[in-house]
Amino acid sequence: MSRKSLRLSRGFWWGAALAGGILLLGLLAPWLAPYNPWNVTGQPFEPPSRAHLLGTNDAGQDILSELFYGGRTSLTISLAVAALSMTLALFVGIAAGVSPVADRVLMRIIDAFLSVPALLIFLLVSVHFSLNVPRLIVLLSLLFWPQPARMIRSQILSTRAEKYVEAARGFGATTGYLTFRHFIPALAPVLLAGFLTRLRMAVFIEAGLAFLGVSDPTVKSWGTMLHFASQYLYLGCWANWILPVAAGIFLTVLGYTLIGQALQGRSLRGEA
Amino acid sequence: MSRTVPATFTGRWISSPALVRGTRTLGGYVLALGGILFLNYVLLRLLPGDIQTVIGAEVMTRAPAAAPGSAGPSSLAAFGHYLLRILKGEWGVSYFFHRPVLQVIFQFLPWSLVLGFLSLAAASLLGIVLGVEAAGKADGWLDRLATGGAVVFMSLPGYLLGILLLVLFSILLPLFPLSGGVRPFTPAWSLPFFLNALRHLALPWLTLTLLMFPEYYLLTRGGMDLSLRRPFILTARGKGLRERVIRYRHAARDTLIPVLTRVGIQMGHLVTGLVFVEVVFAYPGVGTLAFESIQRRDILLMDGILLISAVWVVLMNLAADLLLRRLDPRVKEAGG
Repeated sequence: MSRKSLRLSRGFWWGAALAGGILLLGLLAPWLAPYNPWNVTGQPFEPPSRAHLLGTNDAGQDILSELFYGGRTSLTISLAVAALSMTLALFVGIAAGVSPVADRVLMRIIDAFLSVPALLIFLLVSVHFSLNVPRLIVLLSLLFWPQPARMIRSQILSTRAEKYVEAARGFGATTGYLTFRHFIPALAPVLLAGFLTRLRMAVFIEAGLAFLGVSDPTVKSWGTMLHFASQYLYLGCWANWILPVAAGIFLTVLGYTLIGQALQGRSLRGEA
Repeated sequence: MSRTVPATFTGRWISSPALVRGTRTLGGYVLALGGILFLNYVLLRLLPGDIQTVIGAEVMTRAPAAAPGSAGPSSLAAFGHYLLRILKGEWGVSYFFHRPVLQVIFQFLPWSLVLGFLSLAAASLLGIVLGVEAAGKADGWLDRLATGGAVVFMSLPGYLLGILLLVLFSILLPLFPLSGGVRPFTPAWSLPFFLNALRHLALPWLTLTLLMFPEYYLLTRGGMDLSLRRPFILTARGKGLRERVIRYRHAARDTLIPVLTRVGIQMGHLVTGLVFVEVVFAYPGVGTLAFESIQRRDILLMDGILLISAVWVVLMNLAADLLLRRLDPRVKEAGG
């Protein structure tokens, strides 16, 4: 057991280091990037050189600079989406957990949301509203809240059944008091796990939509880079173009996954 | 987290008899379907570009009126009419394929079904077996390897894993074809057809399997950790049962329930996974069809795909519910 918890916490520090490091790179992008990624600073498809460490893309823009700025976009969107959707989920989850009447209605709505293939809805809507970053954030948050809301609700339901809640009720505690004193503090692990999962999903889907070519192509993001790079797979420039992007997405999400795994540790039963 | 029963079933005021809950679940699904139908109806009629803008100005001058099927989104009667048509199986005609929507979908559907089921089956089997074995020897080499693998593949989105596998096995080592479902002009239902289709299937299948197995693995692994410590395992050991029997017939069975529920839920995610993976491999399934028909503004076809996949998800959730009820007597006993 002790050995195991040691391993898990090591995973946590690795994850925190990865996520923090990439966050730092994203924040410092304007100072770290050698060029303005929108400027044409070389010939198209230049191989890596002293001037362009990762070469240039099909438009002659510096790939390394794109990578830094792309990370910035991914991080902004994923953090905003995770925060917004978890806030929504918190309100809905508490309402459902506290009031049986609201519960019936909200659970049916959540069921409905969960049975819609989100990506298809997303593709549809993204064709309707040409997607800029704020719209993307709102839309993703609207699609991401139901699952954590359901988890928050079940956590509240099991807290309700605890002896100490019953005791508090016996002393005349009101629902409002119970909510703030007992229900919300017990939610911390669920909220954290939900937040990390949302982060991961947001990075995936943001890059995925850009990869499919349905988001704003002028925004530098890892997804748009993949979108253009995958059209030139056969040219052999994937080594300096696709691999760095892949590493960026992979390491970012790996950081979140490691933190999440370490925190969930003993109860992997929840949302993996 | 004290026990393994989902909190839904322990909630104090959910104590109505099974029948009531059954109808309520069913009602939920019906409501979900209704909501999807409505969303379907409204969203698709909100899309800016219609068939005419895509085909071009020539058609605009010849037929300036609204496109067929685009009734005002506010009209309730129009929605009723739409529902009726859907029920009768009249889903409209795809302008791109010049064929009824249902026909087009059913042409692409088998490819996706084969890919989806094969990878889901492989992923869940792999995840469960690895989870059981890894839990048997906690912290052993298999446990480390499988957990590490699960974390790695959880951190790769489908399109990325697809591209990486494509680079690895189609470009660096040209073992598998780059794209498509089967070599063109291979006579259908012949042996070469199946062999060739399998070769095309290999990489998308591998991608989806690797993407989906971590979820099952982690669920099983975590569940086994709990159930191996339960008293009935001690009893089984005391009876002198073989380790394999204890692991699979006793402990794993206790763990299987959340895993199976997750299979049902993942059917929904499967649609998403299929879109990305099919697009990367240009696989001729419904995912690619959905993506392309949105780009072509083939509204009625898109409508049909969304509806089919929603019905699919609802059916799978229902199936998972029923299965859960059969497998776990506690769900019935709890009245939940």
